[in-house]
Amino acid sequence: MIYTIKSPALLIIGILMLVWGGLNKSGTVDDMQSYLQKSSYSDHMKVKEKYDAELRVATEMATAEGKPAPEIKMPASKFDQAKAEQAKLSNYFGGAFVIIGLFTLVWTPKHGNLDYFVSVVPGVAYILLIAFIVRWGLDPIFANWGKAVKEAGILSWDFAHIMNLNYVVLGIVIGMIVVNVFKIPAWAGNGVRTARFFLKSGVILLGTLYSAAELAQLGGLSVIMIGIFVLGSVGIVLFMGKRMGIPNSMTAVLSAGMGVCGVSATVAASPVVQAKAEEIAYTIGTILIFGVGCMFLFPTVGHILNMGPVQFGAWAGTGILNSAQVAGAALAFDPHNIETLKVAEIFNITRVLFLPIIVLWLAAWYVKHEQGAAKVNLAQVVIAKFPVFVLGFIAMFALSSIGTFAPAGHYQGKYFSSAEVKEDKLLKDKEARALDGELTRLRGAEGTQALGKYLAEKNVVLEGHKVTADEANQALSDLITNKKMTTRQQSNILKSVAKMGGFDAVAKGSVEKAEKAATHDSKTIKEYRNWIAWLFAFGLIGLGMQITGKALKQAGGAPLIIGGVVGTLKAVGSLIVVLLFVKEFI
Amino acid sequence: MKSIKQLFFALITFGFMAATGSSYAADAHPETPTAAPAGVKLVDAKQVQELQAKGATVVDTRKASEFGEGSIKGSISVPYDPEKSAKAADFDATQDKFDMSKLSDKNAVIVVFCNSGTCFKSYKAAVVLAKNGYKNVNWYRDGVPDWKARKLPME
Repeated sequence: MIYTIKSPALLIIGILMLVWGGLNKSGTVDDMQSYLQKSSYSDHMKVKEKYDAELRVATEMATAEGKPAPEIKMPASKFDQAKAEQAKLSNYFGGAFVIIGLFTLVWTPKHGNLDYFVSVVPGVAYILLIAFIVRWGLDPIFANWGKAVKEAGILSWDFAHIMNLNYVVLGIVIGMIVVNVFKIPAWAGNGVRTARFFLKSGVILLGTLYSAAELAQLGGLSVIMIGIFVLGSVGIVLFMGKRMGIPNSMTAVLSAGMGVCGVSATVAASPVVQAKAEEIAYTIGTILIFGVGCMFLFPTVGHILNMGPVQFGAWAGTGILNSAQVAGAALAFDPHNIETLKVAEIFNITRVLFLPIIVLWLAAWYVKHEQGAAKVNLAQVVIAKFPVFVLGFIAMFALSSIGTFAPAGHYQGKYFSSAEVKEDKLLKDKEARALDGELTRLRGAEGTQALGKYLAEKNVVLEGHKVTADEANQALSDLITNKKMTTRQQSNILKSVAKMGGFDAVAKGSVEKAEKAATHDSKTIKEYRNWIAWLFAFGLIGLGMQITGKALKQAGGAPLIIGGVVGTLKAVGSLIVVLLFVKEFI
Repeated sequence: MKSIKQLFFALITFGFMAATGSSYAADAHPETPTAAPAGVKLVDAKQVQELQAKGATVVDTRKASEFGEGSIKGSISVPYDPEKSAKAADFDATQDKFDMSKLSDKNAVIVVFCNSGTCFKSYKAAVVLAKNGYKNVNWYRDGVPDWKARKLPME
């Protein structure tokens, strides 16, 4: 069979991308970009003001001496970098798509691998074009709208933030609109099916952000929580399925899907219980319909309850069914900071690791309830159906933990290092004087009392004991002596102290500056984070394209009821447990 | 042709983005007026030095942390912070905070500054001071970038 479909679509997409790259490079779209990228544009204004002043002064001096005006080049701002990045991506991909698009039009496809690979490209280009529009266009437009509506006093809350209208949700919604309104065009079909692959690649890369130091903090808790909820929900589904008279194989697949991790668990469990194709479809439909609801609902509830990143990550990782939707909800809750996503994924991965246990349980259950069931080789099924991407994730995590990408103690690429503080980031004399003034005040009888009361009230804890006023003063005195933070503990104590009411504003700014100067962000991991965001954006748009009205309808009936009841129980139960037992660790 | 319809859809989206973008961009980053507000004198770096030599109070209206990072030598910090009013000449000063208690003498010579161009803090501070009866308010519009470029003393 020949897969490649001759269509000018790929060529046109390539040209569109090249046009966008060109517009960015020439500066034609600067006005629009300055609206879309507000924060990097304000950096641009700072750089420009500095440059303007230098140029003006240099010109003045040259004119006074009768020399021609000097030529100074304006240094690149964050805004310039962002535009260059967009131009680069657009040009590389656009160029490649144009070449392959032209090749497709003149080439007579022959049966084989080349034919298959070429047939995938148009669909990939199609999703990538949507990903560009969503990440560079719709996401900032909605973010700006949300802020503008709030600032104008029309709404008291930022609707774009509360409703999580960021690139993740918008990507899935656009995917759903495309598939249901326009249908996926024939030329894009093969490419769209690769979305899951990109999503799983994203999960593998996510491993680079984790390091054993922090996993240890979550480890025990996540295993206990996950254990209770996974085994509990599997048990409830099996019990309800029996009571409602649903076929054993259907019940078993549904329990794996509801208990462990959605689609891959369903697929992994299906041969064990000899599930039929329509049963798998039913289960996947149920999981998706419930999961989509959760994905929109969880972040909203999270914001209303003012949950922290660790709490929300733990809740989403336990309560939401499908790996992709866990990632979706975590990113929707906090799109700029991968902290939530990372915690959610740790819970999610812990849950996936329960799969072998569940598969064994289901096999035993099925054999017991279904007399005459054919013997299935358990070991073989576990080895064959264990999700490979989980192994990739673990490998990346191991490499990250031994310090391959950034110092081993890093936290999503961020780490503390006093030795790496740059010379120009050391405290200035004026800042040291402001801090010295505060130290004198806090060492006085009145100051010490106020500080002690504040530390006790805020429950500032260090290595298992409450921080005393003397310790806080020592930390401050060390900062003045060294002109930089020397330990993470010192940095943590002073961070709290600087927030105390009545603390001098200049001194507060100095503490914040010193803290920033000692916190470093690994360039390697930053690069990975950017890749992960792209892979997830791509994967989630593709995921949205799999949610057809037909798939949603398939979830109807008894499986939907069981799925809904168990899913809700799990979501509410894990919410209560998280709120009671999970505190902010960071 | 279905595929053509698809691409048409994409084109419309691009157009929509372009339209929204440019309509908002026009007044997103306004600059301060180049003339001084009523009751205020516009000064340049040289005049600031002269006034300072004569004992004028030089006031940094930027955030305290920016003042800590480095400012005009001998200046004091009176932040125009938080600044919530619109970045325009007809701003509503009641939305902002500017602590004038540090400037007790209404007859003293005062110079206010922040960053140049898009920074409205010093402009607004000058207007507020003039309205509150300060007689000798000077506005150094070019501010810190200009001072730094001239390699004048910072601290």
